[in-house]
Amino acid sequence: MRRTLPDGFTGAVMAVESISDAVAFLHGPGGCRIRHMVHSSAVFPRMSGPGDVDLSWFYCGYPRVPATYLDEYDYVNGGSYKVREGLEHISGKKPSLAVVINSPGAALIGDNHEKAIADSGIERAVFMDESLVSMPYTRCYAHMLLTILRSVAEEGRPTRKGTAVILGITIMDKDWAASAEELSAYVASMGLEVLCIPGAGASVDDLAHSVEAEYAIVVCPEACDGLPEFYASRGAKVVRSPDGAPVGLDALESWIGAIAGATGRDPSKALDAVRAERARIRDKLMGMRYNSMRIKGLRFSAAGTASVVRPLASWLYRYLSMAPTAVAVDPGADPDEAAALKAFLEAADYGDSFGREPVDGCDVVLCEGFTAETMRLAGQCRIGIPIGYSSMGLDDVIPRPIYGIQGARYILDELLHGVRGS
Amino acid sequence: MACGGCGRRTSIKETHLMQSCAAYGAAASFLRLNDVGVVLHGPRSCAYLMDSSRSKAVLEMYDEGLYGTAPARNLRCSGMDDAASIFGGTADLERCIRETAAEGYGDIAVITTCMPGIIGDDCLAVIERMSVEYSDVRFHYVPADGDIAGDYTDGFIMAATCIAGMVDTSIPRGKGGVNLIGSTFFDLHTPAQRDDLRRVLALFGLHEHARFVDEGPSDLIRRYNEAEFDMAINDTMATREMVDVLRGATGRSPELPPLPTGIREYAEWLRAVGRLTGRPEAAEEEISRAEGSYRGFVESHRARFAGKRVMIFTRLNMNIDWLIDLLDDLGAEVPRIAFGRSSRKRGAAPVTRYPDRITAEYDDEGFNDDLASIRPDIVITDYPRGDEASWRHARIGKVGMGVAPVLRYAEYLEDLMRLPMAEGWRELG
Repeated sequence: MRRTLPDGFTGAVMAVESISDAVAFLHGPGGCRIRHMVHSSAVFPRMSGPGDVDLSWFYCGYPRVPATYLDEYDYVNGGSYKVREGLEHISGKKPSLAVVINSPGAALIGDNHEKAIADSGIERAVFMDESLVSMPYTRCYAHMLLTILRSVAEEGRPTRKGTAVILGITIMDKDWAASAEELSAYVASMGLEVLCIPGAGASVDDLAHSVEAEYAIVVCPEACDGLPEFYASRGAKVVRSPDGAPVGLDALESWIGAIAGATGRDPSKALDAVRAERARIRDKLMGMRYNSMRIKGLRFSAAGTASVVRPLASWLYRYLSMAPTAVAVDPGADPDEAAALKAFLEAADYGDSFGREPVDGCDVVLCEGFTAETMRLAGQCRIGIPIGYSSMGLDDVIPRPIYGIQGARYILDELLHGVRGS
Repeated sequence: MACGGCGRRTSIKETHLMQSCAAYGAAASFLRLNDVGVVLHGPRSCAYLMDSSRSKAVLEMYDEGLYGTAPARNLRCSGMDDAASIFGGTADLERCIRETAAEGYGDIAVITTCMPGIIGDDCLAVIERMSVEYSDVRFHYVPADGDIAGDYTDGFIMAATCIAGMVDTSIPRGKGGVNLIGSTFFDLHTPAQRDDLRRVLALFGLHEHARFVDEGPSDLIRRYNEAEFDMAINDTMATREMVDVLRGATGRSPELPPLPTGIREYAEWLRAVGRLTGRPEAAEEEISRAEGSYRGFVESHRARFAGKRVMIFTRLNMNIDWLIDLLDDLGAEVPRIAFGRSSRKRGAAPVTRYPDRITAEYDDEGFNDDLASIRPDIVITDYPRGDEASWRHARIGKVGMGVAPVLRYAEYLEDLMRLPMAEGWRELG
């Protein structure tokens, strides 16, 4: 089953959209805008009231990702006039930063954004010069953040002891805000102050001050590619778990342990929470008896970011005795994570599963939502569990993230519900 | 179309805004055929954005059991990158076509996005070469070039023209089947609406045959000619163009009037079908039942609508004559019936029995002025502006066939005029 994945263009737009007081200004056709504006509004709404309704030609009543609505005239004659006019309009909203991003077609025109920015008089605006199309989403998300950090974070800021930034959460992650909240709480429980999470709700000012952090704690390495090195260059100590992103209780404990080990802080509160959750889940599964027995031996396909899929596959295998029949990693995989995943599967005598996209006939598919749901509806699997890119479930009120205890509960819920009647 | 080069634009206001692109429309059209491989020639972002825009709504309908088939994922992408914009993307296209053909598709549609259109990739040459190499695959080429060819509907019609070419015109006309033609099938996108149509067709010994174009196998398109009759699903400009496309390809024109909504259209439709099928008594029986239901409802609900000022503002430019009829019958005042600017590249006039009552090319500025001057009791609109806390609004969307859904809609309006104007969640604290 073929998955359709976002690429660097979406990564760049959504990285800017992840900054609470920045604006991604799309130089491109309306078709490139729509999905980005809908997704950004859905996962990171920042509307406070009717005053947010902008009926200008750049916004057309929708609050995020204004665009220049390029058409064939602009491809031939250039669309710089729209960039200038749009930035003039956007400057009235006083964003902390406006970032002009070309659509794939607009990148070919050669419009002079530097001049348009200067002519518009907008105070704080930059443009993305590079074309990021067909490059991995995660890499370009991180690349955009890095570009912005380099422009807003001054050199020579003093390090603040006892502080941390958390890296590698993106607003395309499933219920990213809930993940950010939970993971921040663990870090805070160890006596560290979380300055911000670059790429997940931080403001421009937050980003500027983020380089003062003593620690840079990695969640998903692919989604912050290059950022740990940047923070290290500014004096932060990088903390990265040996067991990948905190997906599943095992990897979550490992992540907490890595932070404690690197910082010398007391992880007991955080670990107590995980232990309590283990006991709760054990009680639940013991109490469910026949239903929980139906989980053991289920065959699963998992596909996604390597540092997410590795701990996920390992947890399903060890914690729930599920069989990994197909495990694939997205483009831009962290090589260490991919290698560790391969080694795990080989050691478990499932070496053939590595690199296989979700297969017809497995019991459970965990991947981006549209593919998982299509396979379920087509009878190609029994249970389809969306784990990435927030493609399904934008309308969930109860958060169902992938990371942390909430993530473990989400997956268990889907599994237990899915095996009903089996 | 006049060349725009000499009169240089200076403002976005000189642009005909298109909210989507022809490439997406073309892809969406072909993706409804669950056994056709769709090769999008362009960057991966285009495929992702199109797939995301489409999939959620479509999968929800499959989940409701609306279709008798399983969903598929047939979108493939050539993955053009920065290098391709310099050196050309035809190698990417060829590779993607080969990979797609290797999956066993009997039909492959090739659709272009902005990038190959701008750099001038000779896609036709690639397709011609692949046609020789894969002689058992039928190729369909849609040079949408992103939004250069136009908006979503423009691209949809381009693809529909290709799909119409799949019809096997040697198949003789059969008995009892009815083809449905439409660019959207919103009015049949619930099981209840689908079943309603089946029930009514069955009154005349008819059944649904193929949908041109909705989710399903391409085989039904090939066997399009088997149907005895054709019917447009609605009476919009886009569907009229679909009818023209099919007429050109098959020589067939719809014999049945478009799917009727509201008592007037329903009665006309029933009588027309009764005449066509030689069952006028079945028509009159159903008309009598529907009219009784409608008149009774209007009498008992008029009091709540009489004298109420209702504004209508639609950006989807659907045929809403049923709504105008309903509000008139209920005694409401309708001082503004507005259609937003068509997003089609060359525009599209609204289809209505009430052209003199329609304000065309209506925009948000006009809407704000009318809110202040007309002070409507309720505004019926199909797009969320975000300021709905300050005026009473009702959605308009899928309706369905006949009278029952219209009366359900009237009840919805009636409730909204009694409920708090703004939901409590819109206010904090």
